[in-house]
Amino acid sequence: MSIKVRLPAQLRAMYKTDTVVMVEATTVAELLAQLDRTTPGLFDRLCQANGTPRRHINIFVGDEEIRHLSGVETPLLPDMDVWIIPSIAGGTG
Amino acid sequence: MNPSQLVLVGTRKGAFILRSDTSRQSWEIQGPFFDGWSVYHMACDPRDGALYAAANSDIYGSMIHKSLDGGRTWEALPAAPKYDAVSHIPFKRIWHIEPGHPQTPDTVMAGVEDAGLFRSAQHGVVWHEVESLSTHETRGKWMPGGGGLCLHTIVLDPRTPERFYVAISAAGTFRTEDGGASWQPANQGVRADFLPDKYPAVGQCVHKMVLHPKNPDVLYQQNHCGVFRSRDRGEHWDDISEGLPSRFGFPMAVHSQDSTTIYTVPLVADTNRYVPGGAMAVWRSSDGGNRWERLSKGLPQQNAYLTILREGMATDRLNPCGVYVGTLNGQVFGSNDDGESWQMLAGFLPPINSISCGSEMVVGGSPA
Repeated sequence: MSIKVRLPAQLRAMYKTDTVVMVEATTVAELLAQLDRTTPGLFDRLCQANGTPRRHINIFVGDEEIRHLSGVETPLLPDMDVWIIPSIAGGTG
Repeated sequence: MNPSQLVLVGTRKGAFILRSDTSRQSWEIQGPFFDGWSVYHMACDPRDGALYAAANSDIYGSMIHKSLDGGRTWEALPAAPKYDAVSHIPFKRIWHIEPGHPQTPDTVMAGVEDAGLFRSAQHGVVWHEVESLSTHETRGKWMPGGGGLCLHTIVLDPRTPERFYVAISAAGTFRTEDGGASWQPANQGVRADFLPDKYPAVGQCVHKMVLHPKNPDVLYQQNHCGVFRSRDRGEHWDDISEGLPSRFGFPMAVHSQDSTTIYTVPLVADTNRYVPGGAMAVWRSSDGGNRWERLSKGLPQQNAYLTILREGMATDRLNPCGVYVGTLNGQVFGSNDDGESWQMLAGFLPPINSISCGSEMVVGGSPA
């Protein structure tokens, strides 16, 4: 099942990926693992050593952030879009 | 054509590379690289000319970039140091990256916060924690300095890959004689004014440590509590602060040719971290720290309240020696005559974390 994933611009530039990446996955955990297979190192940019998203990384499945769903075990359904978005930041220069 | 001389500048907002020929009179600035990342340290591998950059992000964590073409293009390495999920030690950032010993040509090491040492035997592609240090019996007495509990210095002994040193704030200096299998504290004679016991076995706040490859039994360190010299591989240390305007400072560097010529940049105090009197100066000793002289020709002498961090000074390998200082205020000052005179090579960079030197080579070959 192909899922459409949008990565943060900073990571797209660093890893030279397309704006939208198609990934075969049925859960967010599978999606993250698959992203790391095609782009080695990307998993560590998004997740902590325990496999959960970094503090300032937000993964939206549709309109809902996965912390409000089932975390990385959140299931993915056909035609769902996944957005990976860093928290907004500012004020410290 | 002369090989390019490189000054690698790590800043809070990416990295820059200053490039010149061996005359080091005019410089071209390239960058920024790694937009949005705080580059804590960069290194040029003298074995093959590869460049490394340790970049940290509050959002994306820590990673290492590598260049095989003198910094024109960079590759994000697929792996970076990190503690295992089961480790009780939090991983915060990479402070220092150090190409390994010439006899172990594939090895690269990195120092991290919370304090630990990582080693890669595959040019940085895979990293392993040096657990003998992470689990050292004295770890309970280590405590963070103002910058955090960080391993910021790795010093190699050119004679053997079995012996090298690490420095941790605030735990002090540790030496291994068996390639990292075991570690001995090497802090005898180094003050720790901030502790009840002023001369403990560990807990010292070393800021930067260097040795000269021609005389590798001698170590120098700028410490939170003074400048110190060891003539016996860190077994004992002598206070060589007399003659300096302050015991406090961060960086330390050694001359390219003369093993007894060293440089530091004293700051007022730990509570007032800028150069004394608002007058920028590098201090040099040409006799191993017995006498110090103030070097300021070409450096700003009025209203210059500049701060230089622990990685903020480096020397090149040429003769006369090039000396380079980067400030938290965004200036790079350079000297191409052993520190006698200075010019500002860059004036308005982001806050500078680190300065390193290198020369451009054909990777895997000899100087271009």
